[in-house]
Amino acid sequence: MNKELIIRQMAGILSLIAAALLPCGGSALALDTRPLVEVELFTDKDRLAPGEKFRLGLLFKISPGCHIYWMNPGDAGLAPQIEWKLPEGFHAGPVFWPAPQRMEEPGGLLVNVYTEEVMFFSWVRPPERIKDPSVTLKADASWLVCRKICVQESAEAKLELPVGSGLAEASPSEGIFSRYAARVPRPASDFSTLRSETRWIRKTQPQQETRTGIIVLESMAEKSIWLTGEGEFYWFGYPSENLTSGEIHYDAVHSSAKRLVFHLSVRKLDGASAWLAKWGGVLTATLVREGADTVNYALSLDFTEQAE
Amino acid sequence: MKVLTSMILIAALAITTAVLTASETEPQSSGSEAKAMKAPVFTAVDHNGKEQSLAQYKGNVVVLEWINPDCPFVVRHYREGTMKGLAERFKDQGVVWLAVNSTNYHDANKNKEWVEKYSLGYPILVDKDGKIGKLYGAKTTPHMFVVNRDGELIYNGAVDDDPNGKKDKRDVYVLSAIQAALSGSMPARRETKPYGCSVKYAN
Repeated sequence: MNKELIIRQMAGILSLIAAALLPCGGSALALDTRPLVEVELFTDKDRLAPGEKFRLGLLFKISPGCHIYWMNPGDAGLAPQIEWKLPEGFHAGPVFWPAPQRMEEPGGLLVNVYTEEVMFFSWVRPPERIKDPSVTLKADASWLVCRKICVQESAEAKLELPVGSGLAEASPSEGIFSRYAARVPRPASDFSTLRSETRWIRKTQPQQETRTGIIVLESMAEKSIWLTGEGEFYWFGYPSENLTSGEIHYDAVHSSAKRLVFHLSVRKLDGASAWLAKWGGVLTATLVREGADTVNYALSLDFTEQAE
Repeated sequence: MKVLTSMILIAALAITTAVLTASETEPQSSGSEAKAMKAPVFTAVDHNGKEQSLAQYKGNVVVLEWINPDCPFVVRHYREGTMKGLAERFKDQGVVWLAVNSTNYHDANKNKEWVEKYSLGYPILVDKDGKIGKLYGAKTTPHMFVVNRDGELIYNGAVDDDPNGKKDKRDVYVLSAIQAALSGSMPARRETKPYGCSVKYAN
């Protein structure tokens, strides 16, 4: 082996080490200070019509190997924060969060994450009268991005939109909105062919520390629904200071082709005041409809206190 | 999810479900007056190579703080002086502060740098294999545990109620837990959801 080759190999190894030390295995260039996540603002209309509501979304482009977190990050992490900065008279509704993915980190830590790309969006209603020929919409965002190590990043994104009366044209970015809107959890009642039922298994005493929740999904269509063989279903509990939920389990014994039964173990944190009158989360399930394609459902479900 | 694990879980549930639906009851909890569990004992070597064990601080209130100098949440709390401030404030009252670093790639030197950088009066225990971390179920950095004079674990959770570090007024849970431990009582919140970076376990 000649000297030049050894040096070249050494350099190769060194750059590999350097790359491994960077959070998301990114470029080994020391001067590369690009953020691990870049944000970009979009609207579903390319022109703004006074009084006509539109969707405003912030797209997060996440470096390969990195992840950001859902509203309940799981065992660790932090939810991103988004603040719309809109001109006077503009009203933004709540932020819609697409369903996350479950990821297991070393040590058995379970986190609720987004990888690659995600968009959070709100409906915005502009005022009935807008004087200016164009408006600037802004978003302030901060987030925690992790892989091997975690980094806190923040950015301001802005977008200038022309104002015009009459019906606004759909923007070319409308496709992104449809894609992420489809991933936002919805109640089962939004689906004509699906019915859901949630209940706690009858409690034995009010001070009890754990409860088991039962979730039933029923197919209302003539045709049946099944889980795929791999059992791709996850539970993501909504953020709570009092409750924590474990993994969801599929009850094969009580399930049938038209009726799927799940069990969920929920625990009250030690010293937490009481069980909440209402608590819920998101069930993601990959179901196969008879004679149809595979469908990925993200269902928003609530458990309420039932009368004894 | 791994197929094998799912199958085992399904099998296990098939059995438990049959029992549950038959009686519609759940296992009884131990009662409303929750008894604190004993803090798991451990022995470790700190950043100076000195042996540290929970047993040697018997009779003291002990605060365990999971730390990772690479984590932005830890960095923020050290810049703000949260941990150091609490440790110094209660030192004279016999409160022992032990930081534990379960990051799989942080050796004694890395921890020593941190102790020197912030002139800390307490040690950082080197727990590269994550043994103590897993013993306590440490999930995040920071993640705090408070042990009372009887060796009971009376607090497990977050430092405070401000994950984003933006609140004007914070409820510092660990402060309440230390005060409760000193007065021989139980804190109002014995468990909260810890926040921060995940503990970087090797496996």
